Amino acid sequence: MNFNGLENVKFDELWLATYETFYMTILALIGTFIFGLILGLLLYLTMKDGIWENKYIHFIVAAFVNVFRAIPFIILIFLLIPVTNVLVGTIRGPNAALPALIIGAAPFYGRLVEIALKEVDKGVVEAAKAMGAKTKTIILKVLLPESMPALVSGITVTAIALIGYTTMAGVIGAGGLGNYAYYFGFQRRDYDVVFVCTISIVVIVFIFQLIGDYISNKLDKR
Amino acid sequence: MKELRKSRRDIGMIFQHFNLLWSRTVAENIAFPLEIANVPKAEIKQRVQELINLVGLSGRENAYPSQLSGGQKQRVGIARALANRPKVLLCDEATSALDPETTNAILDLLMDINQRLGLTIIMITHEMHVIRKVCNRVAVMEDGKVVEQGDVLHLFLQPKQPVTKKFVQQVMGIEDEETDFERLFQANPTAKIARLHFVGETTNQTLISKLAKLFAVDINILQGKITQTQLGAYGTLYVQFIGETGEMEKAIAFIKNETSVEVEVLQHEL
Repeated sequence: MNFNGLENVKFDELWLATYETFYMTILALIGTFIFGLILGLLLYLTMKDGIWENKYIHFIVAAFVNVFRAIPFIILIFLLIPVTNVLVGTIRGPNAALPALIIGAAPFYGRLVEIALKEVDKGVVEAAKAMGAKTKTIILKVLLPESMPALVSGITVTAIALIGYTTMAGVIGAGGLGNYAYYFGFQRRDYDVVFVCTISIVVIVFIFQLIGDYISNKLDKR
Repeated sequence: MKELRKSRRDIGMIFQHFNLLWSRTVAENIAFPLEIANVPKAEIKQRVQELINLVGLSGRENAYPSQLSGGQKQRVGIARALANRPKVLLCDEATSALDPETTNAILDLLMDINQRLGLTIIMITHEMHVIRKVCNRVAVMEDGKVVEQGDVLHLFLQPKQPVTKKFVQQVMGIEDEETDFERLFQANPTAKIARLHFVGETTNQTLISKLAKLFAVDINILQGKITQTQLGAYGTLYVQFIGETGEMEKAIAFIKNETSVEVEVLQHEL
């Protein structure tokens, strides 16, 4: 064990790894937000007594969500390697991690979106319908704004899960703090690197949590 | 479907639980139906201000629903329902979640709107006193069907269906079977006891004092219940006439012939 000071930590490398982790997390988060929202809306709208009630579409979306949530993330990465190769053109680096990150996190977020939408007061949807609102208007002006605090706290939870996923992706070559901790820390037995990476990740998680809580509270006018 | 959506804009609706968007301010909530109807922004702003004044919420434009009391929330609901200038205002148990005082304030507002805007208001309610206070016509529903309908006064006076009777009792109290006036008969055998039935018309409100002035009789009110409806007073009053037999008969004849009050002299059983 080599633990006297942080002599093995190269700060430019740590900085690059932290940047890569941020990069992957934020881009994957945007993709997850969009796809998760679509999945959650589909689940909500097609459910029984929903606006677009449709057993078949609901079943297909629910099956997709459940299957992809069931696959462990590390295996999902292996499974998606051919897809990644076609989409990104490489299977290494932060960009190559994005398809797996989004497909791994979107179904999870989709479920959170569904739960958030179900919490919207049905009376308000009824009122909007009584005013002659189109489904598009109901989604954009009622469902999403009314569930926004829950959607934001959901994306915060998802962001933290995503940070965990980026480190797993890092181990198999995506870069970032997971990659740095594994190759420069664990494999060289330089545990000070592992330690510093841990601190960095915890700080990143705290930052996301604080921002998420702040926005969610600001939006909540209940 | 499109037609249905359009025609919905001609019907304003208010709800028992208000159904306001908590993420929007009072002004934004009222603007919502106008946004749905694609009204230009400047026009929305002006209309919203008008409505806020109409329902008496000036100064609360930027409050969120969570900062309002139940009555204020319902005022927002009413303003929102009126935004598109509907032809009909449908109130679905609009006052059932409010306390009696607030209910009265909301009902006054609705009556004011009814008169000022010449708008038909349909109230769905189980609260008979609400009907008594504001309604002109009433229809009673049971198992999804209208079982009885007519003028409020008429229906309250002569309920035919058992369900209507039950409802009417809520507001009138159970029609008291003749209380025992035997003691009064015995105490004053020459006095007459009469049952007066008020069936609307406000001109007879001074009946008792008029009788006392016109005829040499004393009148003693025994028991009764009179309710004010939109079409006048209605209810039953038991009175005792004390005086000369001739004067008493003249007084009773006056009620029969000159007023719309129905009178019935109770016979005393000996």
